[in-house]
Amino acid sequence: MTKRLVALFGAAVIVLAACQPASPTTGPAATPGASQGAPASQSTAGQIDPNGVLKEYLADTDPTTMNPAAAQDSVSIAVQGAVYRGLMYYDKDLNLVPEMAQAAPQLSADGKTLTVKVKDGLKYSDGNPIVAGDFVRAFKRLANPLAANPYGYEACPIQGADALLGSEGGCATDKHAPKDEAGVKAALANFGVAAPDDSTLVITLAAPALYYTSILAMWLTVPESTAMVPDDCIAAAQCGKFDEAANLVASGPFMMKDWTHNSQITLVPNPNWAGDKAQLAEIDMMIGGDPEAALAAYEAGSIDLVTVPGPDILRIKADTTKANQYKEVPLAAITYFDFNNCLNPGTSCPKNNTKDGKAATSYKNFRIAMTEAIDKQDLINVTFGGLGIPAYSQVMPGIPGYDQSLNPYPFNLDKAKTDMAQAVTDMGLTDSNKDGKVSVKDIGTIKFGYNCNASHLPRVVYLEEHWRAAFGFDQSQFDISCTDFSTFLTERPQGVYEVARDGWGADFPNAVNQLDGLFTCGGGNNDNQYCNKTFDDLIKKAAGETDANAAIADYQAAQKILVEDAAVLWMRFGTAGYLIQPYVQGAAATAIDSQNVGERLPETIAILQH
Amino acid sequence: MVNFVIRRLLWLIPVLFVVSIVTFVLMHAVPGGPWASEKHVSAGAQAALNARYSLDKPVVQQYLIWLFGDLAGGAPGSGGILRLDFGPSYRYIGRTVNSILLEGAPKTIQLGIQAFILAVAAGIPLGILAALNHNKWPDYVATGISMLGIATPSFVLAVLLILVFSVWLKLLPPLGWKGPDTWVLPTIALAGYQIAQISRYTRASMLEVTRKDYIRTAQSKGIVPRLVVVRHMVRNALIPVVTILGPILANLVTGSFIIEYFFGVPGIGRNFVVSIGNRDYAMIMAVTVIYAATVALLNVVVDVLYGYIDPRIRYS
Repeated sequence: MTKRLVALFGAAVIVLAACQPASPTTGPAATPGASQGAPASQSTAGQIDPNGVLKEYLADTDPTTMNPAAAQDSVSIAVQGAVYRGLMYYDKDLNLVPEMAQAAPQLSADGKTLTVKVKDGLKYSDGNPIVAGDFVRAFKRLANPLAANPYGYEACPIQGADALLGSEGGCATDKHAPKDEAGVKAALANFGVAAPDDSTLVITLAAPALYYTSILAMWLTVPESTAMVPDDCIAAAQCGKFDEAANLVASGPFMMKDWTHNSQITLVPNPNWAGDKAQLAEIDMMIGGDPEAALAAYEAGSIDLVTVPGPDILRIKADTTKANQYKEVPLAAITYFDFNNCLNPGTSCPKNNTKDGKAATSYKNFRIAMTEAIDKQDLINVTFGGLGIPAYSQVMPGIPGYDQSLNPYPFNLDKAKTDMAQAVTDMGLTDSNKDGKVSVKDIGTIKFGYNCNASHLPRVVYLEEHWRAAFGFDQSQFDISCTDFSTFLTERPQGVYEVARDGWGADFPNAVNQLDGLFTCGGGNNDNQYCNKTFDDLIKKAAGETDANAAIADYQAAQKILVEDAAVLWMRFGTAGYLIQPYVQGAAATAIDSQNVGERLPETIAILQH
Repeated sequence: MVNFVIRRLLWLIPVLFVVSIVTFVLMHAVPGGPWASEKHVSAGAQAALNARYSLDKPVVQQYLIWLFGDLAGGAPGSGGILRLDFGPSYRYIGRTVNSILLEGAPKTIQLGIQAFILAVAAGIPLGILAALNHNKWPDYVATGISMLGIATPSFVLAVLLILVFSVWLKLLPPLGWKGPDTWVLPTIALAGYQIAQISRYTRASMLEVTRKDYIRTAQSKGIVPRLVVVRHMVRNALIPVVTILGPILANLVTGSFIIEYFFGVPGIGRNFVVSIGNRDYAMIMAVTVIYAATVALLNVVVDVLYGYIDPRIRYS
């Protein structure tokens, strides 16, 4: 017995020793033998499997809520896209199309009234009819200030929302939100969403907002059955139960059969769904586990599709056995670094040795020079494994208003140096470090912040090194600090940093979502402290247009001002790399997928016999 | 003996109070808050949330609410920790900390006990084996294994296990907690470090005991070598080992963030780390107090066990 044990341990030592030199992240799994995929010729010949089960990895964490009005995180939104649907939705090319609406909303001549006809005969998964009043309930819950919905401000354009959400809720108004249920009830009486009959929904806006049709496609405005949301609690802080599968009533192509928290969500087709029928018998969304372990699960054949984590992209791309499984899809997401423009009232501006004492980043020529010193394609190659598209402006490819030609400050080291010399003059620097000449070394320290995360670090180092090499900053001049996420998110909006990591994922594919609030004066997500009245006026003008093309032209004009001001350092439009088994058919990759490819239109996915 | 246990248990109360107060103060001293998000939550929504979770009250009252619930002015229906109500989760809307922990605890405890059994079953024999073959090749092998076990972080071991058993051999699933086959890898990964630790303690302790006079006496009396080892050496050598088994068990049954996160075990271990990042105040308090209570309780158990292993120890 003892001898056998020793032999076993000996063998274990040898195995461990043999594995030891391999680094865990890059991993010896790069050897071709490690992969397993059904040969394409075999599987694509198969017919659709009526009992097909799609197995996927959802995320490392449970969705925070299945309450449509309260959802904010991409995991919750991904699941809700399968379970709930609203009046409008997106096709695979992100065109806005009617879903439960008979047609696109009719806009009144003054652009302030949207009338939508709801299709007849629609039903929830529990068999109850879907009527116009169910949308009214959803809008009212969204605008309820006591419910504290993160996206509550999307209700602001509606008439009467200012008296509900108030200025503190993100609406442009002097009014304040009611503090109790009675106040909310009173304000809801004047709220501009009504259902004159079961098939008509009328939304009255305070001012024209052409983009509002897009809001009808968001998860926030899906119909809510009285079984899920009782009428008597619409004005209360909490209304309805959304934390277990049994409490949920589906309006979308799938319904939730089981939700084992932090473990798995099981979706099955909703028999009452009137749209394109689901072709899968089941979707198993696995929850928990590292994304790397999810990739291993794919490679071991236990899940059917997976998003490839950043560090593995190069290995997977180099693996010829996975050539027919690896795909890339551009995402409506952007990575950038904020410059502190120091223009937003009420936020702080770091101090430098400039003539007015303000941060160097508040000088336009400084921001321009810093932009010109960075080769974004090289940055993407070095720090993103080559995955992504260089970004020179804010509106993402695929979203109307994207302007590929807008790049006033391309990578040019010579011009960067000239512009920096101009910036040094603009800033009125003096020889504060007593080295006999006036240069960027006299600016003082530049606060450079990001949230501690191994994936952000390479970008921070890249920028710091290239800026130092281009302009001759002292090593100590960049005061780089990483803080935990929550702290960073508290400090960044306060204007603590001069340069700070930032990013944005589109909530809906309309330029308003990429510009308004992010760069408008005092905007809720304006962390770059930019403020420009001409820009703000154009954003307002765009919302008031009645013609979509005119609105796009306004957004482009606004964006041009923003980009010419070099308000932030735009860096990269995201791209996701994913692996999908050849027997998974019809996954519609869209730019607004977040957890998995095809998640927005799961009804188009089928599993072939294999 | 009974007095001793009661006295030790009563001591738990002040200990847990101090732990909870220190945690509470530190938690509120850290910048950031539970509503921080990449896409900002409006001031109005933050105020409404603060009111819902009583965060708009003075900090001292917030602590009292944590203790007494609605009796101290908390939200109606909140029980407070003294009525075993840890409050609502800040992160998972509509769920309570109690329900999250009760759902996760059985999995974490199961994983912890499996890992503990594996660690003891592998660690103690390995240590004994090493000590009995002191400075011979089995000793080197066993010591080598424990050095590797100590030096290999659990996430590295986890990756290696997944690579070998899931990706290469395709024997075991890398993700989930759905049946015995999914239990194997996390159990080994969790036990790895503890096997090494236990075997090192056992070896050192055995080596010390081997040189004791009573062992020589036993051997010179002509007792069968196997009985000398089992009755005299091991029993005495295990006293220091049992000391560390208490904290090890406490550690294992309260879960490991890395192992649970990596393998997707739906336990409570991840809450220790994730709740701090999320500033999920109710969850931070709950897991800290539960961890402190578990460690303290198992230390009492260890002290009681001493008496059985070493009859010389008396409780007065």
